[in-house]
Amino acid sequence: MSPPRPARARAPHPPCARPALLSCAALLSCAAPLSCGESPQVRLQVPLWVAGGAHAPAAEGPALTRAALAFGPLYLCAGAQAGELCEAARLEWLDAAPVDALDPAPVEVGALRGLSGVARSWMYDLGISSQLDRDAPHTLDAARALGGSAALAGEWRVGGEAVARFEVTLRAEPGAGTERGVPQVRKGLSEPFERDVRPGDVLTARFDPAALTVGLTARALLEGADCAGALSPPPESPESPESPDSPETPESTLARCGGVWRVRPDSVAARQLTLNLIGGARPRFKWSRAAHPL
Amino acid sequence: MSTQANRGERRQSGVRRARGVGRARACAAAVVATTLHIALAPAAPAAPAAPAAPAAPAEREEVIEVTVEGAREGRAEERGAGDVVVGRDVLQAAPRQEGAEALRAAPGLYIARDLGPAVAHSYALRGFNAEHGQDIAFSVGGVPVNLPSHIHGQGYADLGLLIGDAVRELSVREGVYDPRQGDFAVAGSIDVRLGVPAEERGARARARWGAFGARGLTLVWAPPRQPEESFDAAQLEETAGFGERRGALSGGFLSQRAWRAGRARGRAVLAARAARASVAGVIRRDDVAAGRVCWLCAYDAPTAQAQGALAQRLLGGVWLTRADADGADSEVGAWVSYDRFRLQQNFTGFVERSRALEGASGRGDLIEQRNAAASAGVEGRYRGAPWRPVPPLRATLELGAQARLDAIEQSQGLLDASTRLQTWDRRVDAEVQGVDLGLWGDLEGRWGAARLRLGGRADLLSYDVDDRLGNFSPASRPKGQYIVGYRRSAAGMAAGPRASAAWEAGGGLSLLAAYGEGYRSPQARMLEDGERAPFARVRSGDLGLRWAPRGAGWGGLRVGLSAYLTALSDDVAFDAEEGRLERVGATERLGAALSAEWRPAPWLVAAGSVTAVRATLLEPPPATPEEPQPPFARGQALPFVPPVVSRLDLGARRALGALWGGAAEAQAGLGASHLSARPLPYHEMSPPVLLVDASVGLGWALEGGGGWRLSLEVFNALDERYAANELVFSSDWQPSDGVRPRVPARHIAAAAPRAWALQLEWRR
Repeated sequence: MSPPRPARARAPHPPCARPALLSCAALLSCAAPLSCGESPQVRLQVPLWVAGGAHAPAAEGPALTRAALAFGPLYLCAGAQAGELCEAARLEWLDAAPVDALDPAPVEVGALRGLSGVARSWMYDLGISSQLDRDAPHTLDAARALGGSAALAGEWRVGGEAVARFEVTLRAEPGAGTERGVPQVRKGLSEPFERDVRPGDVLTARFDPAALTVGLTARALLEGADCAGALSPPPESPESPESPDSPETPESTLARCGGVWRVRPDSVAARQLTLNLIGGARPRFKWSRAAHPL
Repeated sequence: MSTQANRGERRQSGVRRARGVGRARACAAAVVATTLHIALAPAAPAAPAAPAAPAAPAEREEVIEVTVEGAREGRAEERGAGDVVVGRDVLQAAPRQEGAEALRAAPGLYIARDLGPAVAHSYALRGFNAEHGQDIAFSVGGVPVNLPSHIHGQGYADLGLLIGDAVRELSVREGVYDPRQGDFAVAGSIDVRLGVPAEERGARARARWGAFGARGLTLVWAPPRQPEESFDAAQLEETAGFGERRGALSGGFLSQRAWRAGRARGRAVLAARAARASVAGVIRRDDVAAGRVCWLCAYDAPTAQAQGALAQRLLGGVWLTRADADGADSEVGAWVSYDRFRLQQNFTGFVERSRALEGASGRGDLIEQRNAAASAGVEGRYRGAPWRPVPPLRATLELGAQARLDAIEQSQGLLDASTRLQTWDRRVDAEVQGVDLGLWGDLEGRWGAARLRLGGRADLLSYDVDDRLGNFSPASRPKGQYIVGYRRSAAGMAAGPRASAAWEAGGGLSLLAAYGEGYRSPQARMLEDGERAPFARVRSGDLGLRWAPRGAGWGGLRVGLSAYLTALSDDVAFDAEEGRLERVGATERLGAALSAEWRPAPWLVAAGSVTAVRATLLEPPPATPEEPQPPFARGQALPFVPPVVSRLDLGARRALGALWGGAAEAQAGLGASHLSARPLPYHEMSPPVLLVDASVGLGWALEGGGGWRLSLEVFNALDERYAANELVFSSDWQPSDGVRPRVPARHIAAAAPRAWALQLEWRR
């Protein structure tokens, strides 16, 4: 439990020297309400920008054409471990905004509000936030617009050529049995993050789109997706359709969909992508002191 | 106010009161019972009653008999320049809504009721935000009021049991320079002395009606022929309260008897009080600004609407004093107290999780605190006869001891107000027994106009704690291989010097210096087994002067000026999430106080004080997992402490002449308190506050005795909108509107707006 302890922070100007008992001049100068030595820890707002990353699709595998994330709320904490130990946050942004993870240009989405001082960890949700007082999590507008925490679309490439398209909507929300009221994504102890936040600071969260599809296989996609559109019959083998010499590969099956592969939310592929969203595709937080992060 | 010197208890009987009877302090005899025959011309002013042989009555002169009885201290009791006695005329100058508000006349002391009549006031003195009493040792009629290891805060002191009519004077000792000052005397100590002076004795009944449905009845019985310490008083009060959820019912009884048998004197005091009040709690300033809740309102949620408090207290004590002819005197006393406290308050809204019930959270942070304390104490002191080895050197030695036992039962949990106050978490369930044994010695040497005191005090405190929830594993963790509970014992000792020096420079000017080291006991439940109990140590130095020019032209002017430096090794601050005090680290106060009292005319009394202080944190607060390296700068200001506290009391009472067969008298009073802007955490300031209370009254004394008095009182006459208390912490009072805020926010408990009261008093 964090007490509402007295203000404490570094002094921007020297504190009062300890004057002699009878030093009336020092006494009067220090007794004034706004005199030297007061806590400089102040309330402030830190502009928050978000950005995606340049995406160079590989010749084989998934290549995203759309990566929209609902990012927020975001808390920065004084302690090294966010979560239960961040009942009182240093800074917070209680909104959520869509992030185009494929666009490297920063976009200002709001401002963190809170207190100056050292922040050592962070935690955030992806548009869907678990609250202490209810079973169903709270869905913010950004997630409502996307239909979930993230909306991804992409192509499956083989030999540099797109053979199929897929799309998926992900919901990053706490499962049954997990503790309520704690944001889903939290800084790990091994991840470096420390900043003595001061007025004038700007924070940019940059997402790497490549991390969103790590581990996604054609087989997982195929098993967890439905083809929205016509699915052409498998090509006939000149010898036998059941010939073991020419098995149909997942890639080739993917390619038979004339429309889009829609990933089911309860599929392995969706779980993999959601895990990426929570555990793998963590943004890089960058501090700057310019009005614009670039 | 006056100094502690010359405050011998005295009684006068006769046709006229003899003025200045207390000035004969050089008389070493502890008990004086002298009959004076004083010749007075009818129109002559009253003569000073200096010790004198009986005068022969002159022809045609009126002969009156004045019996002066006194139990005079063998020496003056003043220590630091901040020691004052606030007299009854000053205490009654300004209107008071309750007896405890008499304390506002104490220089530098500010009190506020932010949780209603069933919870103790919040006190601030000399730069100490004493919360509910942790830094001020209060006693009423000699019975200690502070409760150690109280669940709501260390040193919890509810002075709601005071009835204003029975408060004779306040003995205020700022700083810790007297060896008699024990636990909680950090900023100082205040003894509320009880009694009804001779001119007010008799029977009295007063009815009161006021704003917000306030009504009350006060009865006082003070037999005219008995000592002024003897009286009975009772009071019943009810109010619907301003704004929302501030209704309260309270009642109290206060009684004291004094008697004499030869060289011995006795005094017994009894007090009882009960109060039940609804509590509006705190509201967020940003919610007020956004119009989500009004300034005087409480939140609508059941968890906010269920806030309330209950207080019950019974205490009593007996003191026997013996004064020998050689100047030696001794005193023994014993007291008992029983206090019961229950508070339901929600500071943080909906941010708590249950540790006992898995998955239970967000059911409202309605903290229930219960504390029952049975206490008993004994004390004794002996002061030897003055020793005069070489004239004019005169020395006396006093030795004394105090002991108290506290048996405390306390618990804390969370209640769900939406389901008939179901308990959904338990945080504290403990039994504490504490013994405090204090010994002191005090040597005074006097050489002409110079006086030096050297003394010291040592206290041994021991605790036995049965923490029934100790080693408790939260429900979410695997069960441990043990039975829940943690019994432990601990003890500690605090010792320190107390010294003071004074020099009477002449012309009524005295220079004073003092140094002392005191302590505050720890919250017993925080101790580990076998731990040497860590005391909060206070070191205090005081330098000042006092000027009381003699002569009729000065109107009894008294002026005191002091500068002080006080360092506290371990300060505490209120933790809203747990609803109790937590450690913040070492602190220091550097300040100055100016006080004055003036009676320029027999019908007018004025008293005022200004205290300016710079309170700073000396070291970082203790690290926590949430705040591993608390930001800190040496010299940063302590929040919530008003740097400047000013007070003015004005009272006027003048005869208007004969009216309808009786004598009419007009009365007016004014009390003004000013708090400068208070620093808050994060470089914020609360606005300054100027509170003005005023009263006018008309009395009508019947020729056959008795009379009526009607008075109108206005409190907060400027209708200042201010926070009686302001805290900064994280809360969520609107859980249904989206995402939980976690950044600490400003919360206020609104103070009363302008209010009026009409009083009708009958006396006989």
